[in-house]
Amino acid sequence: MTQNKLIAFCYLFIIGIAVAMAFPLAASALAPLWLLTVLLGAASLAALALLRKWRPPVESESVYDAPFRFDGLQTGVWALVLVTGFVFGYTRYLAMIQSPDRLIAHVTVEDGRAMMEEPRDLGETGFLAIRLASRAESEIRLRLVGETDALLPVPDAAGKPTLDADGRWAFTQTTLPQPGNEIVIPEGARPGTVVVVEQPYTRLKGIEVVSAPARARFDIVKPVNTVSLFARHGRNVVPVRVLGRITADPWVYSFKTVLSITPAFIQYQPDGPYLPIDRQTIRVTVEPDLPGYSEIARSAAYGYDVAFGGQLISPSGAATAGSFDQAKYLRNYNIGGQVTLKATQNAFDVIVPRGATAPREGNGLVEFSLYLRDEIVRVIKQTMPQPNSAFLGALTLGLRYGMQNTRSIASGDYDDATVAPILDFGSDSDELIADEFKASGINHVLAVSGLHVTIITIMFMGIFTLLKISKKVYVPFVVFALVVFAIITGARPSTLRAVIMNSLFLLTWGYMGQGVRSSALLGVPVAAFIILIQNPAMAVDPSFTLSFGAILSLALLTQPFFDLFKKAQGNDFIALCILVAVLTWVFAAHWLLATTVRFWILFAVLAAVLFGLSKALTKHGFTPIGNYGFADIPVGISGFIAAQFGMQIGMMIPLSAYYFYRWPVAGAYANLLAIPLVGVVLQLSMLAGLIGLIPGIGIYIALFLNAANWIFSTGFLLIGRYFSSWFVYPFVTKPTLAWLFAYYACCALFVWWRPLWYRHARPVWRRASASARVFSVAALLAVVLLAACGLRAQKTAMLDEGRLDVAVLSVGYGSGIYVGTPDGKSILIDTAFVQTDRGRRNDAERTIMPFLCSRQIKRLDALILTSGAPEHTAGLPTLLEYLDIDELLYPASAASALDRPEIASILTERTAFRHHLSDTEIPRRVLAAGERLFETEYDGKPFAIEVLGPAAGDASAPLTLRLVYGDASLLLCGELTFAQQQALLDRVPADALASDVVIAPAHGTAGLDEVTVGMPNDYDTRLATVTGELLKRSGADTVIYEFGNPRPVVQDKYKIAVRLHGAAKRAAEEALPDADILATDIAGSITLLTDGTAWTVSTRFLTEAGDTDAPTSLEVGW
Amino acid sequence: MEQGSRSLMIILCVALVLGALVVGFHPAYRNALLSIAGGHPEESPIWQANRDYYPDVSLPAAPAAAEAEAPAAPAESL
Repeated sequence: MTQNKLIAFCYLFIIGIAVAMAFPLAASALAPLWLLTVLLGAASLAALALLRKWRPPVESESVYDAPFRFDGLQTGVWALVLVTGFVFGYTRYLAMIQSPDRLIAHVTVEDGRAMMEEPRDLGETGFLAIRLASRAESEIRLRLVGETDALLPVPDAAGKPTLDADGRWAFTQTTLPQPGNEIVIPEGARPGTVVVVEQPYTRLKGIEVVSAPARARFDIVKPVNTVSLFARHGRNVVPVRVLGRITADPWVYSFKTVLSITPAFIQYQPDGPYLPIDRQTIRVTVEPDLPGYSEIARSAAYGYDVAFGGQLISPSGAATAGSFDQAKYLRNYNIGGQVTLKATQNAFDVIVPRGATAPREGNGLVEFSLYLRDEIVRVIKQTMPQPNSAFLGALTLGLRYGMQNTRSIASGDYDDATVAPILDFGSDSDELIADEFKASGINHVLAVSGLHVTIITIMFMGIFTLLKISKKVYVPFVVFALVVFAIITGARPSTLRAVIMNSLFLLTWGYMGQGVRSSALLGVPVAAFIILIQNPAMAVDPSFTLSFGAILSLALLTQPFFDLFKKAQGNDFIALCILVAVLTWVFAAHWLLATTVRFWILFAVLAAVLFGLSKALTKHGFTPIGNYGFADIPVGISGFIAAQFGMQIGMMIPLSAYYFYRWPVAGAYANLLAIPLVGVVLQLSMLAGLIGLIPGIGIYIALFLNAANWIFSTGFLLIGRYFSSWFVYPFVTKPTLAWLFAYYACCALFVWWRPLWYRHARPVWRRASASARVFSVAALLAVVLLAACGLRAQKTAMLDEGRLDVAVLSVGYGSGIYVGTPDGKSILIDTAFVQTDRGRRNDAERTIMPFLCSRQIKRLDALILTSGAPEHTAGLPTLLEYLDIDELLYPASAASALDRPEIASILTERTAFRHHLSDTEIPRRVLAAGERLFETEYDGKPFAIEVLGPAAGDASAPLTLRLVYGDASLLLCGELTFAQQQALLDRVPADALASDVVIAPAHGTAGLDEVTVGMPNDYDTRLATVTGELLKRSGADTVIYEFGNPRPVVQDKYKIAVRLHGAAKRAAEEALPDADILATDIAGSITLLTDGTAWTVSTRFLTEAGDTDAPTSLEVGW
Repeated sequence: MEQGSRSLMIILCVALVLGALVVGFHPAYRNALLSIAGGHPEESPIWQANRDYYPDVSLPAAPAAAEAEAPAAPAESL
């Protein structure tokens, strides 16, 4: 029972963290919460000790059919332990997110005079903040007067900062008066409003009030000097100088290196003092042209003291709902800001302590681990050719960054390689191996996890057993090896989880004689607790959740599924195989069919028919395979299949959909081959790596081992290659948290139905009267019905019926607009651009599809293309592959774009018979001026999409659309050139152009095609007379530009495109001086909502997002 | 555990035999063996195939090649 309480304590700790994430209290609650945690902890320990004395554990507690008996003492201790776990989890997370600002003084302003209590010591030099305690009845202007102990580095002869012999930064200190700039607190500011004073103070002397209301109260606080306090967005970014240390293994890509630097001091203002930093790290991206790059682009750089200057940027959040949230990701890893260092702009110096000949090193164990890793990389480089070596490095050592640009084994890259592939696998693939792995669902092997750690554990145990060494002697060595392995591979949550669990197992097995099974259920929550106590934010990080989801699925779901499948015998087993074959065909050949309700109804009917037939044939004695069934398959294989099935149900389907909006359907099949094979590849690779370290003969044995492994690893690469081409990698709608909760409640019922029924429900059921039984069943059904209705209502609420919902998505220099009509139809206008050179970026895949999935949209009522230009149509193949689209609408000018081979082939394929079955054919239609689309009326307000252009017979102009709902309207100009804008002005009456919102023509770069060199002299005039006139006629309140980095689309003209865009925005400001001018490069995605009267406009970003180096998918781990 | 160590031995032995076949018949592996045996591992075709892979990891007494190579195309971002 104590073990169960420990397990429950750990899970309640996690639940406490989750509740703190949803409902965090203020920082002032921290102290009482910590006190409460300590008291509860002490009480729990005392209660457990007493319980052990008074209620020794009894055997029957684990038996399912033992009737449940209420025990007040047990229940009380349980409650105490659970509350302790919950409060501890809540407090720990709160302590992480709430910087404990230090209260310096309470201040009361009366009649223009500030009365301040004796200010407390600031502790260290840093910024101050004013936190209002009462509402500002009028504007408050004041100055904080104090002193600053200014720290300036002691330079060496070359002007670089210096370290003393003990590795401390050398400074000169000067005490300077700090008169303080004027601080303005606007009228009406509410209590709790915080204004940060971005000037350094070491002592606060007084307050000068310039102007203030008759009475005001506020506190002066000293924020903790975190990195994020000094990081800024967009145009607010200022260059800083940093003195710090490289505190993690550098991530060396082929084209950049990413460093994790823990700053000791930051100079926020040029020539200003250096301020000590207490929390967070900086993610520094170093480009290869930086002088001295090779010195830091290697493992040995770990531990170096460094000094550098650069723009400290606050990472941006998701520009579009559903997209990757960089800010959240980095926050989870305690990163407060990002810096990119380029040769032309920045200096980066490695600093050697005084009297030393080399830079300082880091932690000895980490240094040893990284040294070992480099040695094994050297062995791999000598014994395994590309691309297998990149795969082996990623698989064995967690060096995923080395795989970033590694192309498929079936790519032309290896045609002229010094070591040709074993066989000719063709040259037709342009995919990256990492993408093939993702699409085939075998990407998890690159996330060093339980599979790796278990294989390594078994390998070491096997070696020691061969050497006849006692387990009590070798267990500590294996644990040490696992710790070194965790460090080598980057100590990510999945690795830490596996290492903690395996170490627990080894220790309990080696010294306490316990088995694997008992340690699994205990090890999971204990490992989670150990990881989360150090960083509670990890609780929602995909690498943590997926890893724990996988191990829990294996531990809890394997046996129930095995028990279920083994019931299939004889003819039933044949029926089951046929059903699996049908499902596999649908998944592989026609995914869209699998997304329809009609398929699942047919599938259920087929299942009923097959099992019915099976029963009938069995009854008549026709049993071609006798009683052979799932249970007769060798247990290694059948157990493995059940485990894989459990993994898909418990982890892959729900969590992959939740985090990535995708489910690698191929994974259910590919892993049946991949997991056994990876065991061989990994063991051989580890053996080769370790044996290769032996001087002399080692490298020869490693060469022979890896020569064999070349064949096995090629086999693995081929699994990725072929399964990713046989199966689609579909997008799926994102489940809400309520859905996930309901889903896992069903899973829990499936796993624990026996104890729930036999121990709790059945005794009550037997005693109950008939009416009580009827009431219970009715109540249960009511709960299920209510839950179903609640989930349904949640989905309906997302559709926002009665409102016109327009989202202008942030897709760079391209177009992608979602329209949700008042009667619940979903329409997408344009499909964004796909960049294929200089790194890949498919905005249909990375922005539009996640957005639709986050809205739970898997079917479009229409896809409208406004132009045939690639920035409007390049994403079309992606969307056609993954979405059920009822109708494709476009202007005559875009018809040729549909003839492009990659689009034409999909459109032709959509006419096949199987698309009749699933009703996923795509009718197409050319639009022309005068048509009205999706006309409807909601609550007496008419809605329609009016086609204003092109005129009938015009085969060159793009679509111009106007969305009208009641009194609200939006004009979508599309890719109109100046001439086409003028033609529209000439042809369409002014009242037909009148709109509250205008999405400006051609991203604000109309006329770019005609530009050859420099900005045309008459450009501003044309803008004013044509575009300006168009905007004036619309009379819009809001003008939106779909803009982003134009370089991928317009190539060499990108600089002029940026200038034209700037000119267009200025022209819009002149034409409509009162209008809001927005652009998606600055504001992120822009959402417009109307109920038919006025528009509500909201943007993702309040300020311009900085241009930061985004983590790659290999870095993130998916 | 006995079974685990037996499996490990089997894998090791099979891999060595298979590896010997590959080294015997595949020219690149054969040349790699000869290069290492001849004391010129940098001439091994396998080492050369990995020239751009972690260029900071070099052969003993050979300079790191990190600075020599132009950077490849940037990564895809999320």
